Amino acid sequence: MISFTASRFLQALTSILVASILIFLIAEALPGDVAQMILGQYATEESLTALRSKLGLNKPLHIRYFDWLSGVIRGDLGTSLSKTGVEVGPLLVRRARNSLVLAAGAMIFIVPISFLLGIAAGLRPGSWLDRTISVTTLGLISFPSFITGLALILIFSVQLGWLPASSSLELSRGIFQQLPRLIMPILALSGVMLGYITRHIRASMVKVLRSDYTRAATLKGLGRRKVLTKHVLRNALLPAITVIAINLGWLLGGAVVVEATFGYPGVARLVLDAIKHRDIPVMEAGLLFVVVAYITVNFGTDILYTLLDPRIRYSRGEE
Amino acid sequence: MEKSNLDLSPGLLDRIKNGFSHVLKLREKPLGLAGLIIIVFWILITILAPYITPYGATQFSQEKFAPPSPQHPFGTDRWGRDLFTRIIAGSRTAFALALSATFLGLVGGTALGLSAAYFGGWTEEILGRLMDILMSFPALLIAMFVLGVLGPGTINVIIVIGIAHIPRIGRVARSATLQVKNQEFVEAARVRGESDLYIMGAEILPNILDTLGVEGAIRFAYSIFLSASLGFLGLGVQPPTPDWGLMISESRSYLQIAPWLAIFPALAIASMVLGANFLAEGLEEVTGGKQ
Repeated sequence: MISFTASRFLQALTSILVASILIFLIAEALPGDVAQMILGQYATEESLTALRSKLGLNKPLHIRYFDWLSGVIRGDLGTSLSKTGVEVGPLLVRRARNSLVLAAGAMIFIVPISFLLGIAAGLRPGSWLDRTISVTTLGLISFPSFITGLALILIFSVQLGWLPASSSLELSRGIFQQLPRLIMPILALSGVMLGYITRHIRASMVKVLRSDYTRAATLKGLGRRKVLTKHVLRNALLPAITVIAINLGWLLGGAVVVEATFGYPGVARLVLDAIKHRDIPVMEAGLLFVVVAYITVNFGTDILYTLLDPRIRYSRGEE
Repeated sequence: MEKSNLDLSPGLLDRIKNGFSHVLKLREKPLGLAGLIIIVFWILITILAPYITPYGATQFSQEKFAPPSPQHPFGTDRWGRDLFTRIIAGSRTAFALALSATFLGLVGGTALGLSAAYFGGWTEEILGRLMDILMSFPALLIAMFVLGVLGPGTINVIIVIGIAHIPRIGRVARSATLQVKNQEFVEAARVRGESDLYIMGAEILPNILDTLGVEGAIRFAYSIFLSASLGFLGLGVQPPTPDWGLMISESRSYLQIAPWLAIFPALAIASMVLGANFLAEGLEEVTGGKQ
C-alpha cells in the first residue's frame, strides 16, 4: 500500500511538473510584447529595454521557467499586468474560494440525485423508468450550460423577478449571505454533470447485475435484497467515485461558461479575462491552480479507491 | 457482434454493408430513429440553405428588434437582420466546424490509441501518460488557452476542438484495439509476415470501426456543444459570420425586449446536439455496445 501510494504520488507530481512546463510554454507563445503592453505604443526603446531587464524578459527561456516555478513554490505568484499593482496570490485565493463554493454547491445537488436516478434505472434495464431516465439524461448533457443559464434567467429573473440575473458577489459580505445569487449558477452548472454521472452509475449497475458473482450470489440462495446491498451496490458504486473525481475537473474548467453567463467571479473567468488582456502571470497562476486541483483530486480518489477495494492493490489490469 | 474467432477479418465491402445495416436497424430503436430524423433534417436544411432563406445572412434593414411575424418568422436582431435566415446560415457554420473537428479528432485519436495498444510497452506508457495529462485539462480550458495563442477564427476553432477530442477518442480506440489485437486473424496476418502498418490499418482498424462510429457521433455532438460555448465566450467564430453561440452571446443585452434572439438559436443548438446524442445512443444499441 505504501509503495503504491508513493508511486502514485510521484506520478501526480510528474504530471503537475509537465503541465507547468506546458502552461509556461503556451503563455510564452502568446503573441505580443509584455513590455510594450505595459508602457504603451509611444514608449522609447531605452525604457522598453530597461523594463524588459527589470522583468527578467531578456533571460533565456529555461532560466525564466525556473524563476517562475521557484516563485510559485515560495508562494509568490507575481503581480497582475492588467490590474496594476494587484498581487496575483491573494486574487487567486479569493477567486478559488468562490469557485470551490460553486463546485461544492453543485456537488451537493448532483451526487444524491444522480445516485438515486442511476440506481433506479440500472435495476431494471429496458423498463419505462429506465427509458425515461435515459432520455432525460441525454437531454441534460445536450444543453450547454449557457443555454440552461439563460433559460433560468429568462424564467426566474425576467419573467418572475425572483432571483437576481447577475451573480457578481460583493466582497464586503460573506458568501453565504449572498446565497440567492448562487442558486442559478449552481443549477446551470449541475445539468450536464448530473446527466453524465447518472448514466455512468446506470451502466455500472447493469454491468454488475449481469456479472458472474451476482449470479453466483443469487444461485447461492441469497434474497434479492441481500444480493443488492451486499454485492451489487458496493461494486457498482465504487467506480462512481472515479467518475465524480474526473467531473470535478470539468466543474472547475467547465464553469467558465456559467461564470461568464452570470458574471460570477470564479477562477475560470479570471483565466478567461487574463487571456483576453494578455495578463500572463494571472493566466499562468489560474491554469496551474485548475491543473493542481484536478490532479490532487484524482490522486486522493485513487488512494481512497484502493482503501475501499483491496483487489486493486494487487492487480491493476486493463479495463 | 456475433463472430466466431476463427473468421478471418471481413473485407471493406462487408464493412460498408455492415454500416448500412446498422443504420437500417435504427428503425427499431425509437431514440436512435428520432436522432437520425433530427440530423437528416438539419443536413437537408444545410444543403438547401440558399433556397429557403428569404434574406441575406448579413443583410441589414430598418426593422430592428421586430418580433416574430410572417415576414420574419423568428424576428429580427439589433441590426434588423432576419433571424430565421441567420439560424439556417448558422447550421452551415455548425456542420462545417463540427464535422471537421470530429474528423481531426478521429484521425489523431485513432492513430495514437491504436498504435499505443498495438505496440504496448514503452510506446503505450508514454502515449498513455501524455493523454492523461491532456485530459487533466478540461476541454474548454485547453480550447480557451490555445485560441488565446492562435487568436479566434473558424480554422483555429476546428483545430482546437479536434485536439481536445484526441485524448478521449484515443482512449476509446486503445481499449477497442486491446480487445481485438489478440484474435486469430491478427495472429494469422503476423504469421503471414505482414507489416505492422498493414495489420493496424487492414486488420484491426476495420474491426474497431463500430466503436469509432459511435464515438464519432458522440464527439460530433460535443463539437457542436464546444463550438457554441466558444462562440458564446467570444473566442470562436467572429462576427459577422452567422454562428449560433455568438448569436446567443449578442442576445444577452436584449433579453428583456427581444427574448426570441436567445430562444431560437438555443433551440437550434439544443436540437442538433440532442439529435447527435440520440443517434449515438441508437448506434450504440444496434452495434451491441450498450447493454
